Amino acid sequence: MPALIALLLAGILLPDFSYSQAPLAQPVEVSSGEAEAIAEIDSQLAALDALNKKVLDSLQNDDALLGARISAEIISRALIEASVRFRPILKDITTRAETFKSATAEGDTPAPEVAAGVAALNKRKSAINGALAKAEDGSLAASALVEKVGVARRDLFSSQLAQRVELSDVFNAQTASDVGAEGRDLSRRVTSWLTFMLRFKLNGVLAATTFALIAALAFLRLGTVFARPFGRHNVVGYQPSYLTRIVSALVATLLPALTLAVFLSTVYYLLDWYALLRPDIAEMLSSLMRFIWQVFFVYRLALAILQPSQEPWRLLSVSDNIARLLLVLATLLAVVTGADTLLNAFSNTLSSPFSLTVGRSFGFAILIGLLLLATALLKPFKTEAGVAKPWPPYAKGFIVLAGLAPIFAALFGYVGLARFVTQQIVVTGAIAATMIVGFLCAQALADEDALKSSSIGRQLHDRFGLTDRQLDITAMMASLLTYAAVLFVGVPLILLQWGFKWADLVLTAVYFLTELKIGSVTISITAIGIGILVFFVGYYLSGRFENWLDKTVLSRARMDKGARTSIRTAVGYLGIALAALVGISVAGVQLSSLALVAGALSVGIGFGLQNIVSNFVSGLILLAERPFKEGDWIEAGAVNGIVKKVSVRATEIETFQKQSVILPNSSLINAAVGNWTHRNTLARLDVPVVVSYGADVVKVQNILRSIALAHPKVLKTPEPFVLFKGFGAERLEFELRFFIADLFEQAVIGTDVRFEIVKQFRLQGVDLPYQQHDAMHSIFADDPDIGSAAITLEQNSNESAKVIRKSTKS
Amino acid sequence: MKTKLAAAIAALMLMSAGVQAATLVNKGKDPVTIVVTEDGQKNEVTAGAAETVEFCLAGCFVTFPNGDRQALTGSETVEITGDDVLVQ
Repeated sequence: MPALIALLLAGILLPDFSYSQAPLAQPVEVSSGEAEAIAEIDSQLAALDALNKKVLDSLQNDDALLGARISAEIISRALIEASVRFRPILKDITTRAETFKSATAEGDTPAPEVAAGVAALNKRKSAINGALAKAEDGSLAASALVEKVGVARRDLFSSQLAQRVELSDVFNAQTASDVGAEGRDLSRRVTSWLTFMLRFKLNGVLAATTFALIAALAFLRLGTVFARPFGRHNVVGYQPSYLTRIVSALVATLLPALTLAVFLSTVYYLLDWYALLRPDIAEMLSSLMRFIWQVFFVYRLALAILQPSQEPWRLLSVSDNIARLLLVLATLLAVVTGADTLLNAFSNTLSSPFSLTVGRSFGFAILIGLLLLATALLKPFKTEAGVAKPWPPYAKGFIVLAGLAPIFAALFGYVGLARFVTQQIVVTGAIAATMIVGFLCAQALADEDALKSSSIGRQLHDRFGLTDRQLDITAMMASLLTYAAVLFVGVPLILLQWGFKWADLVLTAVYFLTELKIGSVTISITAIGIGILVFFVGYYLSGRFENWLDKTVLSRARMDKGARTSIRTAVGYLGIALAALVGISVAGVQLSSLALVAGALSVGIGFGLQNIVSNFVSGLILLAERPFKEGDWIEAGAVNGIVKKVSVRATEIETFQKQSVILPNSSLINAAVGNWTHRNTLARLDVPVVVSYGADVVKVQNILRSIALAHPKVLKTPEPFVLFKGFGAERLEFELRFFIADLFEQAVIGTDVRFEIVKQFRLQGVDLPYQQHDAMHSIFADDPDIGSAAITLEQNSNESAKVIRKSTKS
Repeated sequence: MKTKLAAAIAALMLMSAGVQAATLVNKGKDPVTIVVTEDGQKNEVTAGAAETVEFCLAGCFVTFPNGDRQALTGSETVEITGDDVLVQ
């Protein structure tokens, strides 16, 4: 730290006093960090040496070799970490050297203290370089050791597999007496420990057990409360959904298993805490506890899946008998493999003779083989009719083979191979079975309505108010995630089990994810994924920004609705474009190469995409110029209706018959567009009226004017106006023109006015001309009241005629 | 929504932090060659003038053209200008 402060001070002072001798006077001592790092490197190198010797000694012990490999990797890492600590020191040295250099003018002989300083610095630097060189050699040696361990483990493995023992050497009187001696040794150790415990430490044991029991019960109670919604409820005739069954199976397995784990581990740790465990007893006890837990777990899992006595909750569709048999087989398999591991641990502790180890492996190989053969003979499936069906031939063949292989290997004396095969079969089988359950779970989740109809779905619905659709999407995502999780966990586990190295798996995965080469193109799936993610985040953010802008800024600025929509839309498109660009560049696509593509595309755009581009540009113009906005009543060619949405390519118009018309923007730009509501909703309504030649025209004019003025929704200014349009063939033509404030009421007001005209004409004896058409004539001919009266309104003449007919009949 | 966003950003940072390497930037006019000891192997890494090269995925030892040595963890940027080496 003082050195650092001095360095900082030197940095501040130097520019002004570069010829000052003050900084040079600092001692060029070795800092404590430097010495520590060198010491650390030396200790790691010593550890590496020791490890090298250990590996040479334990070439026959796979566990020791594996441990050595991990240690070598740790040492390699530690060497780098220690070496990195030199970096600030080296930087310091370089800075100081620069200072010395600048203190001496070009060509001058350096002052004696400067020369001494430079020499000291060089000495330190070469010491560090030396340490770094040692560390580098050490890391090379550590890597070489890792290689060596790998080779040794491979050799050991193949020699173990190929090793053949004479069974007569194993099964003889000597072995029998060994077994007896071993049993006596075990019982002596256990009894002595137990007697000691009971006599002198009974309180401790009781306290530990009681406390562990309380902890386990508390855990069970909590777990039961938490898991209640997912538990089983046995109602007669209730058919739980597959998902409900799977979840309840999980709960019914995990809860008791975890409770037992809590109990066992608490007992163990408390006994350990009170120092009541002898090392050999501790080892054996922990193996025994692991054995008990494993058997219990497998039993509970098999029970939950098979449910021999509760058919509705069974996950596999097998008959009751088969379920019971499978449960027994699975439990037996767990007991046998667990016992193998347990006895292995015992004989490690008791240092059993080789013959015993071989004999044990032999026995277990035969047992597991027989269990597998028994499984192959089962008829686990059901036909549609409920008749038991055996395994499919290939599965049966595989199981028989898997059962026969360890038996024959053991019988021919290849006990190592038999043991290896049984371990592989059991562990791989267990992983595969778990994966299958996981896949079934994912499949059940993916079924439509599965989540909705399950109790979890109801919980989600009640607590978080998720709709059916949201539940469905949640279920789909959960299903995909489950598939991915099962694959990502299961496949590497199986590969590891088969002897692949973790580092190789990671490297392969990294290779696939980051630099998959196809031809000369390198694809990074991770980068593409991140790019997509960035795009969606950007898209989401731009949406938020758009909303914020609209609600907070634009609405306060009292902009009109059209301008707001335009700005909103423009900002939205800009946001998407930005998000896409950032996403693409994050995904590793060079924007310059994109420009090349765009250049090539521009030719295509010139021909093929001409229309789309013209619409796009028109859309931009519409957004900028705003000849109409959402909610306007426009007429474009034959389309007459309300504008619903202006987007960049097309505009959506809803006609009054409620038909949505998507009009390409270019047609709105290139042709005339009538907008009824561009500046205001004021409109002039023209109602054509005809009367017979016998009518009094002044009276007609007055009646029409007064009708218009009398209507509350007709504007008084500009005044209504009666136009005497002309002399028709058999009638005089008038037109009543008036203004209304709200265009959208024109139909209602027009109808009102027409009704009133007919009424007033009739009351005041104004003759309407004869109807010219025969059909119309016949309608009115029946009615002497109307006589010659008929009215033609240019618009909606048929409807008007019907209205008149109704009114005259009533 | 906010937690989702935070989770997404965290995931993003994790992912981008997952794959990293040291970067060698040659700011000089001549190509430089450094010796990289990584994974039990010594390799030469050359960067042409004004070129940037990625190396050292997970910790390595480096010997620079001027004979200096350094250890890298794999996240550094090394700038070489002639004989001057700057590790950041």
